[in-house]
Amino acid sequence: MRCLYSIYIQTYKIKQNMKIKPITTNTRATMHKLTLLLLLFSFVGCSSISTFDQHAYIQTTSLKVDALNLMTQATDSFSIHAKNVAELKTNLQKVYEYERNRPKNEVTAKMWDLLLSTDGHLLGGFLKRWEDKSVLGATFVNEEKKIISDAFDQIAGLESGKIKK
Amino acid sequence: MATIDFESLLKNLEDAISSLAVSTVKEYADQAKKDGLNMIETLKTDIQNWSQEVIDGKLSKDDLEFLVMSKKELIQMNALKQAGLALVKIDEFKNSVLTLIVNGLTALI
Repeated sequence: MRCLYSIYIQTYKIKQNMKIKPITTNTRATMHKLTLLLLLFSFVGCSSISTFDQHAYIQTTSLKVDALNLMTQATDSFSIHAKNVAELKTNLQKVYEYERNRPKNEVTAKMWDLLLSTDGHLLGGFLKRWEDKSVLGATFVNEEKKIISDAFDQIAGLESGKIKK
Repeated sequence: MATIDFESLLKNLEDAISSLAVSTVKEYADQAKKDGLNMIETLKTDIQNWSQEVIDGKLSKDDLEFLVMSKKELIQMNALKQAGLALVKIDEFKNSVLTLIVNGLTALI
């Protein structure tokens, strides 16, 4: 909206200038081309996605390590590790809130949604499954760790691919 | 004040922007396709391995179902990542266009 408003203001100013003196055909053509250039400037000035955020990247990679380490413990009874699970969930929630409130960061926020959803089958769903079943099988845990590791890598990969300011 | 040759400027910009657009889209599309196909290939391999592990008693059917759904959601995450990278490419393209315009205008003044 801000971009459209600036385009409007610039075009209005050009039109106002054109009213001050008699306009020849050449001058009108030149002003139209100038307007086009200004439109191009306005278009390129609007960003589509957030830029790289060092804090977000560090948090993502750090939480990946914490999550995978905790997942390894899922062959033990959940009750023994309940406190660690709660702590991990709090830290995950903090990062999610940070990402959700960054401007133009909807894509990353959706990725975190998917990763953390307790109705899904990624980290949120895994922790819920551990709590429900109390103990999980070693093979299942190892296979799920690979998937969760990849999932974190998708988020980190997008962040590291963003434009650095 | 010297006359600015907007016709030439716009023609040059048009050619430069067209080339830039083609190379940007191609580079992104190739990588996105490669990533997507790779994910599908690993899914096939995983399902085969997991099915064998169910037969061997190392995984339950419930586990298998959960893992398949996990993989599906991972593919969704990859799709989101590609969508995000596409937006990054658009912004990079815009920045390059802006540089072209500024350089073009500067050269004419």
